[in-house]
Amino acid sequence: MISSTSFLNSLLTGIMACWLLCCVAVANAALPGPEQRIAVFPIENLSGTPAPLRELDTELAAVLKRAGVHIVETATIEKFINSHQVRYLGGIDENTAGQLNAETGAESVLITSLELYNDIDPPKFSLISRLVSLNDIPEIVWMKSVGIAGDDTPGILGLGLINDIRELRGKGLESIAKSLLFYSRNATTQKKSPITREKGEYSFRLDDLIKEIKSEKQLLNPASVSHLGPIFEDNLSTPDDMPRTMIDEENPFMSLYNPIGWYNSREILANQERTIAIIPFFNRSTRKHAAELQALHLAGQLVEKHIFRVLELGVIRDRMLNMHVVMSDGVSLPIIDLITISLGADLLLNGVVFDYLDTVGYGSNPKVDFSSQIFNRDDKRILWSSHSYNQGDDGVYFFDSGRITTAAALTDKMCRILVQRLVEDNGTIQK
Amino acid sequence: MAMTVPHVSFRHLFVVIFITTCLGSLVGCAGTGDVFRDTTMDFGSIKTVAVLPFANLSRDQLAGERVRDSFNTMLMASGAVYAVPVGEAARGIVAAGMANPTTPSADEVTKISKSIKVDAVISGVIREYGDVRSGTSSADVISLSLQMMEGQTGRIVWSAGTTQGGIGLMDRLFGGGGKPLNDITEKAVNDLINKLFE
Repeated sequence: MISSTSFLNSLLTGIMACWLLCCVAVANAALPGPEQRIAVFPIENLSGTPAPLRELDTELAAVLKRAGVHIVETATIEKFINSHQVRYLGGIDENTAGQLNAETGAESVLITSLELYNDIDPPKFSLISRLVSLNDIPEIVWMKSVGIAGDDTPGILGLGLINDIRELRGKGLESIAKSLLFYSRNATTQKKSPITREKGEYSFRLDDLIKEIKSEKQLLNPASVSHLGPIFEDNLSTPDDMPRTMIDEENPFMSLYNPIGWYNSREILANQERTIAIIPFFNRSTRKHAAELQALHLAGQLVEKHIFRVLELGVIRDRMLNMHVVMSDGVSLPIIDLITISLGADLLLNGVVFDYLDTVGYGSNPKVDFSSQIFNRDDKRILWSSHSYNQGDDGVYFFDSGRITTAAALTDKMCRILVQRLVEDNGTIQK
Repeated sequence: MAMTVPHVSFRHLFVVIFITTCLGSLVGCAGTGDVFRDTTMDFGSIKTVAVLPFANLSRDQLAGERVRDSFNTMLMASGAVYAVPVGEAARGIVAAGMANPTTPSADEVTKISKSIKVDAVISGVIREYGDVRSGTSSADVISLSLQMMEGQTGRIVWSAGTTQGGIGLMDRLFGGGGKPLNDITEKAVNDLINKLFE
């Protein structure tokens, strides 16, 4: 006969064992497998001001380890950098990627750029990280940027103010690590997004035709063509060239960050997985490295949306240096050919940064002004063109509610809307 | 018989002055007619244009590039014409051997049109860009004029100008500083595009 006490004990033991097994299983699922090793490159300083990079490197590595990301030892990476005389740490080219993979066993590399480091009260900290796969041609698989200030959420009586830069940067690095861990957990599901389609997989069906017809009613807006007089009627005769306006279904706060004007040729999502190369932007602003930062933010949003395969910026830089491509006034058709063919890219993204301004102190008002263009390899035409301009206090009326305090956060919002437009729009639009 | 001078009362005089003032004001408000359009030109045949660098007469060194970029995007957004990339226009300028691309001659226009395969060329001048002051008030203003030249002959087929922003009555009375420069640039560019398509 089994006593009730022993039965209870065995039941409790069983429950405990099950719980422990579950915990182990969850922990194993949470952590990337031992084969998924990430090499962490030292942080590149694009802030234009001095910053404690060594400290940040150590802190980043510690935070990643604590979060459970399996990283290659810092000493191993340093040894690799020294032995191969890697001087540019803001990106990685094909050769270096191959060597890194072979020598350290890393499958991807984490490249981090410091955008803003300001310890004057209120402190400000912006960082942008990307994970680059070390395949034949490296491409960006994950990206995350953080732009925070000590007075982002002051709260009642200023209780939410952060005055210590260490606390702020800790918060920023934690956010990066969490996002990377989340990516590691969901990498397999994220790779196959509904937007991305495999090459040659798509065929036009009756459902698509019905959808097209339905969307046509929403897209066509006579008001948008009213300003075009009879003179240019010939050019607008075909439905493909018809200017269209899309009903804005976003919330009004997000639409504040719409580009001032934009053009979409409707050929970008041509039912194929396309590879995009982001070539260096032109910097016309007063801020050093503004062009690199803008390109990084745009790349981040493209990676997040999974609409293109985004080539690693270091690969493009290396290829352009090797081919002695000099662009003083913009992208010309021979350059489009040269770059796209050599990289095997379908699209080319380029732009100009006119303003990229971060200000210091309370009540700061960042300003970002840039334009972007996407070129097609096949016909060398512009597929997308836009001009965006915003300030941190756009749409702020009462008690600084909704104010954006860093240019990083502002440009992130602008780029997110821009990429959203790129995906959603099916016509030639003007705000 | 002695002629009598008609009696003009003060009231009649006031009415005449009032009407004259109103008419004068209306004449002053009339459009300046700052648009030229070649009536013999078939604008429907223009499908591709090159926008050359704008001449910059303002204090802001980047004004030309800013406005040109904005104009390029807006022009393409209209959906009526295709503007070749800025870099391609620059390549055409070099190929045509243009010494001063902001003021192209007819020959240079035909050369560049052939080399980069465009139907027309647009050039422009920025007369004002930035803040203007009047007394204690200040506001941003933009003033620019553009012209379109046909690619085959190099003759001017369209020309227009616009001025936006500046210090208005409300700014003078209550201050305020006017609208942001980007907003008035957008307004000016849209105004010119409307003048091109009207």
